[in-house]
Amino acid sequence: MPTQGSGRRHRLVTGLVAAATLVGLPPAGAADGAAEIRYLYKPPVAVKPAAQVPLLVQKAREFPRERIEARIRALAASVAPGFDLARARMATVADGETIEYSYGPHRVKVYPRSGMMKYANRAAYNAIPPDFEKQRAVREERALLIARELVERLAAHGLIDQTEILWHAPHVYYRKLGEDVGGPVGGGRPPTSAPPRDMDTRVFLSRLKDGVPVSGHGVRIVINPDEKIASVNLMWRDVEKSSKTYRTDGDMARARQRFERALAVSKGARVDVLVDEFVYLDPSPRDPVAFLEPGFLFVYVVRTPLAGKPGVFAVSKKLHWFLGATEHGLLQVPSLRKARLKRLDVELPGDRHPEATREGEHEREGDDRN
Amino acid sequence: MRSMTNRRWWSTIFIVSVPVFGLLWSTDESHAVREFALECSENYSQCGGSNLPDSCDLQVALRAEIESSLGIWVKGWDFRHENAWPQDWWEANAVSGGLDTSIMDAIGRADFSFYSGHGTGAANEPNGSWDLHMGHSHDGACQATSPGQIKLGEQSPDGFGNNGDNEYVMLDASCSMVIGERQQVWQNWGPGILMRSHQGLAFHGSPDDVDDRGEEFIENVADGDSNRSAWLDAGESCFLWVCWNSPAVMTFGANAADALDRHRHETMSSPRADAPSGWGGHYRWEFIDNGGC
Repeated sequence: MPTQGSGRRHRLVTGLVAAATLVGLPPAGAADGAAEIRYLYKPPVAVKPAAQVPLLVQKAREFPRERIEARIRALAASVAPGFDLARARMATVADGETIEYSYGPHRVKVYPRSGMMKYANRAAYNAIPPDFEKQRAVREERALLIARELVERLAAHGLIDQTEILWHAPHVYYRKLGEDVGGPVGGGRPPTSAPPRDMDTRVFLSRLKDGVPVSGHGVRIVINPDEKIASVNLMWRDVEKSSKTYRTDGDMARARQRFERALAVSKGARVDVLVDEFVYLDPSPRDPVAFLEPGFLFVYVVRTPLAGKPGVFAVSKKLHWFLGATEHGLLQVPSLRKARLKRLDVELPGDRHPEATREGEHEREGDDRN
Repeated sequence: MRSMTNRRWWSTIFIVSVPVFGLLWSTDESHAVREFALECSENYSQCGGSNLPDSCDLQVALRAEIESSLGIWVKGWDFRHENAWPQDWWEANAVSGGLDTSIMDAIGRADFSFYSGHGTGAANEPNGSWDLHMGHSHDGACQATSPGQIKLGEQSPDGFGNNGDNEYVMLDASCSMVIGERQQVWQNWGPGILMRSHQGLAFHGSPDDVDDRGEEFIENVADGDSNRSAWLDAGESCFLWVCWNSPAVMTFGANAADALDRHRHETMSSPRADAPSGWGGHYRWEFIDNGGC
């Protein structure tokens, strides 16, 4: 993973990454009308970039043990008073990306390079209790009250800043469980089934900094039918605004033009843009960062028609494309994770297909990695 | 004197019980070695579709975590890029050119079968069909389709003539478990993927192209979670204003109680040895509802 250089260089790198993503495909972007691009994004709040914006600078590159344990104690005090850190079993994953602390049913998983924490009461999280058919999931209004009380406790313990929570657009959703009684093979009577049952209620509250969303940051809370909290995920880097601000370069209209130019999708493909937003980008909870950069983020899915299968499309996973919005000239921390994966790719090589007989078929066609 | 006698008695019990316990442990199938078979695609220049920069990174990280955390699992196959063939998933006894008996459903190779890459969706879902869409074509083919071509874990009485070995299958691809077509694509009524495989782990929607989902799943399993809970946790992602991805799990059992028990407890850290019954049976399915394909 190359070190990111100046803002211009970073945007070049970003552009190259996006272009490399599409290597080998015939250039058939929006400009020649061969692809349909649909902008489907409906933000819950309007985000307007200021003319001058700061970076969000991470206060510590990696959390030392005492800092991690202080945060775990704060989280436990907020959600799991029975968690005894002094008696908890600790397991460090060899790569250093995560540390797990377990005590009784409680587990706290920490990502020391970002400060992300995942708490779960393992007896309750994703549980299917014996009497689940008699239980009813907590409804939205009540779930939000429980979430608000928890957020207040998290804030009181210094883990988050309540003023940065977007309260008026919570995402409330459910885990569902269903059952089918199998039908006879190959058709005839279909299997019988009942509608799926809501098993728990989940609330996600996102984080904004000066009205700009921080991608990936926020609080996710899982509430069981007995109104107890089964899990809390807290992605909330300890960042502060840089003392210097930088001129915001471009706007969403120009960013869309750049995005569409960078796209090179097959003829007849449809690009569904799920997000096009001005954000602070957090690259990964498993990596340290020097700063979070403001810019224009696109998340999209490409649907490519399949030859011989009318009405059927190859559907990509959700792809991300980012265009930095400032000329900050600062170096980002190289991704430790990408470096590790590159090393693993060499240490754990893939197999040659045993049936490959035709000449050249099994030869590696160069590094497909982008 | 009395204490000496007791000590000898306990020593004798200990000496006898250790090998007996060891023998029982070693013959318990849940502790027998299992194999994983992995396939991923990143470059779609041959078969069409956008490239997926993190698709094989996800596979490499998954493999590294299995090998470091789950001691009973060893590599059966690890195919990437042009070595990943759609035929590897085709049921050998039902589809001409099918290789699943020696690759993705092979005895001694594929107790856990994994794919990372594109899935397919229709203009109007659910349409009762799903394809695993590879990046590189082989013998002119790019897809493996369910129902029709992918049947995992089947045994002789099931009508496909050969014995499969798969216990768990993970399809890290878009629309791989659209709830509205679960019966055709996944259940043996289809006849779909889970012939006698115990469990499928997939997506009701489109997942993010990230490199750490499989690793996160194995970390959860190694920490004692069931496959189901580990996948529902690792498969979801919260991003910007919402959580998304909609991870989904389906478990096959002989009857309602067996299906629920397996659904609750099946785990790669201690896999069940007994395959579910053949035709009919019950299925439990579960997903995080963040929208589908």
